[in-house]
Amino acid sequence: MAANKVSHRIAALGPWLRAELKRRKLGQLRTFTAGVILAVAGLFGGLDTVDAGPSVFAADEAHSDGEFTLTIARASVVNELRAGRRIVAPAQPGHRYLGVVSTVRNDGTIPGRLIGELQLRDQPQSSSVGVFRMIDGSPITQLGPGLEEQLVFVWRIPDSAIHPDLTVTLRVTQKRFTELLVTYGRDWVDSSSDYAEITLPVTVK
Amino acid sequence: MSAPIRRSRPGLAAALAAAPILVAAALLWQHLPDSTRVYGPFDVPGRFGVQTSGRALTVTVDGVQLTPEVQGSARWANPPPVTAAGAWVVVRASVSATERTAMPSVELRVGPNTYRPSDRFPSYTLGYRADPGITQHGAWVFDVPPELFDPPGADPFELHVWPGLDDRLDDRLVINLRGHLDSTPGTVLVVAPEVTG
Repeated sequence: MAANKVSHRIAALGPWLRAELKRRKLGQLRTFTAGVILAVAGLFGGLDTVDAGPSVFAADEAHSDGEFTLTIARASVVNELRAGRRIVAPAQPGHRYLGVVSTVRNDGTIPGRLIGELQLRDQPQSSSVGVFRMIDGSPITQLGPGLEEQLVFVWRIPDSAIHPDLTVTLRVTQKRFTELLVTYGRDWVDSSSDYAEITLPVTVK
Repeated sequence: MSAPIRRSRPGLAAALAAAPILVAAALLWQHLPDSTRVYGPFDVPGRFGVQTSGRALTVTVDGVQLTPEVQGSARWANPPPVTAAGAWVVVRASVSATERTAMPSVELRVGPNTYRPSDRFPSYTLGYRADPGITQHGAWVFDVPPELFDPPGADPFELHVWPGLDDRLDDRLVINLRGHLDSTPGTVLVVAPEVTG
C-alpha cells in the first residue's frame, strides 16, 4: 500500500512540474536553470573559496604558510660561512653567500621539508646552498611537528649582484595538507597561485 | 469521449532521472576513501620488551628515554653533546631481518604527530641495513616537543618499523611504548650499533 502511495505521488510530480514550467516566464526559467547549474557545481567543489594573489609581510612579523610559521629577522652577505672554527662553505672567487635568518616552527603533524621553503626572487645567477641551524651551523633538511628552530637559509650569489643598497625579495608559497594524487599518502602541497613576499635590506659584511 | 492527449517531455524525464544520479555521484565524491586506507600497510602490533616479527623484520624495543642532551660516543670520535630543539626520545632496540637483507624505515608516532629519526647522529643510528641471522642493538633518536608527554601522556606513543621506503601493502611493526618512557635529566650516550650473531 505504501509503495502504491509513493508511486502515485511520483506520477503526480510530472504533471505538476509541467504546469509550473508553463506558468513561468522565460526569464524565470533562466534564473531557475542558472540556480540548478550553480547548485550542481557547488556539490563538486566549484564554489569553494579561492584565495589568490600575493600578500606582503615584514621583518620580525610572523607569517604562516599553513605548514610553517616563519619570522624572518635579517639578511646579510658574507665571504664564507663559518660555525665556530668549522668552515661550512668556503670563500669562492667571484661569489659570496647570502644568508637569511629566520625562526621556523612546524605547525603540522608530519616532518616538514625546509629546502625550498624560502625562494629567492630576481637573482637568476644565485643557487641554493642549504639550510643551517644558527646554534651550531649544522645542516638541516626537515623540521619535526611542533618544533621551532632559528635557521639560516643560504644562497651563493655573484659579486656583480652586490651593491650598497642591495635588497632581496623572498617568496613563501602557501601550502595545503592534502591527499597526493600521483604518489601515495598525504603531504603538504604548494599552491600554484597563492604566496606571500617579503623584501629585506641586506647587510654586506 | 476520448482520453486527454498527454504530451511526452523527454527532456523533463531525463532531468528527473539525472537528478538522483548527480546527487549520488556528489555524495560518493565527498566520501571517496583515502589512498592510505586503500593501499595502507598491514600493521603487526607489538609491545615494549617483547620480540615483534613481521614478514621481513624482527624488532625488540628494550629502552625509551627522554633527555635534553644526547652525545654520540665512539672510539674514533668524541663529538660534543647535542641539545634538542624539543627533547630527545632515545629508543633502544634490537633489529634483525627474517629471511633476506632489508633496509628498515622507522618513525615515531606521538599523539597526532609523526617523527623521523634525527639526522644529527648519522654514525650512531640503528638499522641502516638488517641481515638475517645477525642482530644489531642500538638506538634511534627523535627530536620531539616535550610537552607532548605532559600528563596523561601522548596517546598513541608507538614505534613504526617497516622494510624499504614504501610501507604500502607490506607488514609494518607497530610497537606500543606507552608507560615505558624514562625521563633522564643528564646527557644520554648513544654508540654505534653492536652486532651479534
